[in-house]
Amino acid sequence: MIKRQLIALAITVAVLAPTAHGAAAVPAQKRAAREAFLRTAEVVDVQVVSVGITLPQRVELEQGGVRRSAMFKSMDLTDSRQIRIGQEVQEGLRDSWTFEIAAYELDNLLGLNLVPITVVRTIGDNEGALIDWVDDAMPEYGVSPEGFDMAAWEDEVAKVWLFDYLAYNIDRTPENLLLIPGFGVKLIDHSRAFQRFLVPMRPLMRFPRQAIDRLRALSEDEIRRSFSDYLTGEEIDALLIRTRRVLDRVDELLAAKPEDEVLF
Amino acid sequence: MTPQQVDVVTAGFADLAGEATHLAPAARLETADLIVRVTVGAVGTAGAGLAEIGGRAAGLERVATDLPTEAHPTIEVYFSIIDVLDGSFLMPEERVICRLPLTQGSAITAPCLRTRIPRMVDQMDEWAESEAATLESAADFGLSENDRTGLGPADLAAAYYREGVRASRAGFEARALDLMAKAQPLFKETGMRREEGAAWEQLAYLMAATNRDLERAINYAEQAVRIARELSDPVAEARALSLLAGCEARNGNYSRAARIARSAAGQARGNGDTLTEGMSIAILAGVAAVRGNFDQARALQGQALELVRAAGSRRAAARVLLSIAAVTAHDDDRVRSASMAQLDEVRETALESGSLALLRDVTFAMADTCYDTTESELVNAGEVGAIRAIRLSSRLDDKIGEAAGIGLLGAFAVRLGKLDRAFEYLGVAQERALEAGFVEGAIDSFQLLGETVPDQSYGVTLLEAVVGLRAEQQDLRGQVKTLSDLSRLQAGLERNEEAWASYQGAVTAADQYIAQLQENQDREDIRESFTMVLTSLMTTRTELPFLARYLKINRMLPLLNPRWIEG
Repeated sequence: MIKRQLIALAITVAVLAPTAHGAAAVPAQKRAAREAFLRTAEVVDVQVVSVGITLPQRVELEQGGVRRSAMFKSMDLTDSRQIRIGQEVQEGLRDSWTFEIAAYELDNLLGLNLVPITVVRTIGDNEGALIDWVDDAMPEYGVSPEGFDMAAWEDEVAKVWLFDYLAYNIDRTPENLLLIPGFGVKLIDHSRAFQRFLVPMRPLMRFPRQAIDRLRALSEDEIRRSFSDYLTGEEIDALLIRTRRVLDRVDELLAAKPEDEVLF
Repeated sequence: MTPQQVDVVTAGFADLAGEATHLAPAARLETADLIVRVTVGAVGTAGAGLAEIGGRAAGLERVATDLPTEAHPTIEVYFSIIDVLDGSFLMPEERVICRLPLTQGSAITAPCLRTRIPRMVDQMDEWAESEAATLESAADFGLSENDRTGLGPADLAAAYYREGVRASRAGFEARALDLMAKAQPLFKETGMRREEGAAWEQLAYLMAATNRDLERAINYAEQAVRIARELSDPVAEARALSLLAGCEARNGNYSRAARIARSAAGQARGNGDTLTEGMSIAILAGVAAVRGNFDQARALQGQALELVRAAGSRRAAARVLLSIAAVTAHDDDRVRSASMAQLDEVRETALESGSLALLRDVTFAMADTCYDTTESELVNAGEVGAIRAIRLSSRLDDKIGEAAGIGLLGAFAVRLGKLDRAFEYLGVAQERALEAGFVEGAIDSFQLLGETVPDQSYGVTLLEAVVGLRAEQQDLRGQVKTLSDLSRLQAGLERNEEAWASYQGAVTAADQYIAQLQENQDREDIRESFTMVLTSLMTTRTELPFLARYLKINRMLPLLNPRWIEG
């Protein structure tokens, strides 16, 4: 698993390289350092965050005098019920920690920076996803609109719609969509993402240019390699179809509209 | 059960025939639990099961009609009578023990029970309902014609008041409200001002706690304040002020609530009344929390808890803990363990003190916590919790609670993929919300219907109608959410242009809404959640219904119950 993750990381770095500039390089270093911290820091406390058979846990990590929280998920369940989204029907619902890793990988590939840093780690006897804690989330109520910019927010909406379509996350709620200071967005809870649906749940009309450029640069093989440890063949096939649909949609819109109405 | 409840139940059952005679001696014996035993299959192991619960069992045994199968040769379920009486949540294992030895080991929780043997649980639920009705009948408070004969208005008022307090203590708040409403005018007629003030306090508390008319609750609390001032009774004045602050806060008048709560806390401190001081500070904490000042809220709640514990009131402490749990859940929905542990403690106290209103609130809180999860076992547990919350609301004659509970049940059914059932529940929730005068809640249920209906084209039609209703109500926040959800349905039907137009409509409404907020920075209504409006543009799943959110906010805002002080 770790070897595969290193391959995925290498692909990520390769994808980053052509577009990386000074401003982007620093976050990449920080990201690598934080990933290393999550993988290697000592687990000093584990608390059950919820009740149930497969318990998500809040983990306290410490290394070199630095202490941080993270969320650990090791659940991997398949439900036999029928799920319907729009006019599509899917038999069975997989709910798995591996989707958390896949969501982070996808976010990395697209360069969206929406998903908290997530790594594979074994805690106790369980392998699972260890997710960096978003500790500066704004409260659900009582936030002032001071400094809010709707145009910038619409860009965030477009990024989230693109991500949630490619990841096909059927479980995006206000509770797992965190706002951080400056009205940025952090997305958590992806254990029900990567379902096999194909029709978008949102109208895809505007796209972040960088993410589209990166999608175009990725080959099918690269995508398969990036996700083969975390997704089944069927799930990757669905992801590839969605990727193709996004790019076709972008081309269709670019043929009909000025570029700056489609890409930002 | 409280000693008062035991008295009431045993007195009531003394005149009843049949199985009630088994209950009466058991009820006299117990201090916490009276076990009702349901056995299916090998009866021989039942004794071990009872011993496992601590040997507190006595009383009633029922043998269900289901016979054991090869797969499940032994199934035993134990319910404590308090669970049955109060229709409370089934989660803690010590209260519900189910044995499925061949498949599950020694103990599993109620949600699993519900999944595996739903018919049996349904039978228990039916039985519980009829039993609760019997118990309520046995505890029918009030005075007969004979009792009233020969009593003057002063004695009659005192009798009604006494019975009202007794009813409230035993967990029959709705009945208590009726009795207090009879006592108050009689106190006034006979010039018993101090007693009249006390009756106003009780009326205000009961009116607010059972989710009735908050304007009237405020008016009642103001009457209590006025009388306390006339009588120069600083203790009663501080208490009534604290109650008034709680009612104002629940009515969304946060600035006024905070001002009154500060005044009540100061006066109570001067009087050496730590309970009233603590509860007033808890209200200030709730107001801070609904305004998003969680650090301040937590600090104030810590103070409040210390004070009410120092005053020796477990019931007040439970109420403060409930608001702490509500704030914990709001501050970070991912931190469920702290919230659930607090809720368990609140629930224990609610059961011991017999407060249905507190039990209803904590049951809703537990069900809501289960809603905000992707774990199917918890979602099942939440569904059961929603049913219990509806029953508790019904017993309190709390129409808003009923509508909210049915809406929540519908939302759980959506989450569990039971769309036909969800559609049915949400239709009823909408009717009940309208009956309760909660137009916004009714519209919200209507919206959830539109999102739920299997024919999504029809869903689009319904949501378009909801957009119109929101516009009529000048509800910009609601328009953002509905247009955004409409956009999602249209996209699912691959009607992209329409979906984009709906989204742009949502953005326009959001812009107007934000402009409105910026004009009125001192907004008073927490339902005007800015971040919720923003995030609703991105969601892919149905949200918790509005009424359930409304009750969530209420849980952060405690009310001082006058009977805590009266002992």
